Amino acid sequence: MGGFNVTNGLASWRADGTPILATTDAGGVFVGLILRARSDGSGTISYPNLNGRTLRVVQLAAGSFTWAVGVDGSGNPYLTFTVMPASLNGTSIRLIVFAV
Amino acid sequence: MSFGIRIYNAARQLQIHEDYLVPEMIGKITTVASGNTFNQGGELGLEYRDYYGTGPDFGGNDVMIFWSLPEGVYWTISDNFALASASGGANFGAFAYCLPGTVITGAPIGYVFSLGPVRQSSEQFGARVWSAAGSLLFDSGRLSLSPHQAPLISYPFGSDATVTLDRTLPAKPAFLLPRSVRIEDTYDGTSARPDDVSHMRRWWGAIKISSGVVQTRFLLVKDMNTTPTNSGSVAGYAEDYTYGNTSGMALPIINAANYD
Repeated sequence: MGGFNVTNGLASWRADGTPILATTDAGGVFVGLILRARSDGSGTISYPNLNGRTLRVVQLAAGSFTWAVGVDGSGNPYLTFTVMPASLNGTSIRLIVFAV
Repeated sequence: MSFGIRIYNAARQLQIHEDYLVPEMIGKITTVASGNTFNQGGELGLEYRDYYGTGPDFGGNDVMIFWSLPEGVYWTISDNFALASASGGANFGAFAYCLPGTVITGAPIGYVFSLGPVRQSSEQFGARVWSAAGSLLFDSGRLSLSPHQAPLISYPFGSDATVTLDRTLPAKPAFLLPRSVRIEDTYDGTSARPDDVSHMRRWWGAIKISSGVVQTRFLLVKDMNTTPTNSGSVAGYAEDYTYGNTSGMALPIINAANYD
């Protein structure tokens, strides 16, 4: 059913054959919703369990931060936050993070 | 994790990882236009129209919302996420920016994905994945999130310039849209009311889809004078800042038709 030729991985379908997860779909793992309060200040979150991958970030609300992604010398991706001056009145940052 | 499971697609890209949730679509938001039209002095004479709809029950979880958007006009999203503290049944919406008289066919539709554990389905065939802590991460009997393309990075908002993104869109694209805002205010308050604003300008990151092409733009949506109270005794000053990054953002896209 569904008309896939599944050569790798896993596929899921609805009862009418509509594909939901297909092996021809793109990759990309949802990592999480990141909330960081202004009082948490600048800092870095490292993801050793995603070694060898890179992060993709959707900025839902930036609050009083700027952010950047990178990969450290061991191949672990990380997300860094830089807090902005208090005069800008920003609040918590909210990001959705994916890994590819 | 000493035992686990990872699922890759045919291109060897990772789709399921034993530590991470595959969010489940739990409902849609059908919006309607309020019928109101607003003009706050935005660029090109653009006016805006607001669309709102009611969200589903979140089941006590945070959610993220992918939006399917009518073509041909710029959109900014009022709500692309909600925390669990927002009650189900709350209103969520989007704003269209267009020239006066523009006919918009259709209305935004939100696709709500729960960020809480997947609810176990009643299916007797399929696959399920649990985390080490025993929470359900994936159930093939649910409407699992599956990006149309890998969530590609680099989604810039050119300052007042339109940027065309290199994206191949599915039959019915829905987007998880980043939010970026630039604010420039001129203050002309008094010693008693120092925050009185005499002029405000707002730019919002906006997206437009036309004939399968995605464009983004930092859109000047508000440019208006306000009337401060008792102004004059404190020197005016300007504040100009941008909330958050204006480039390097991802733009996840789903084929919403699979979730209808």
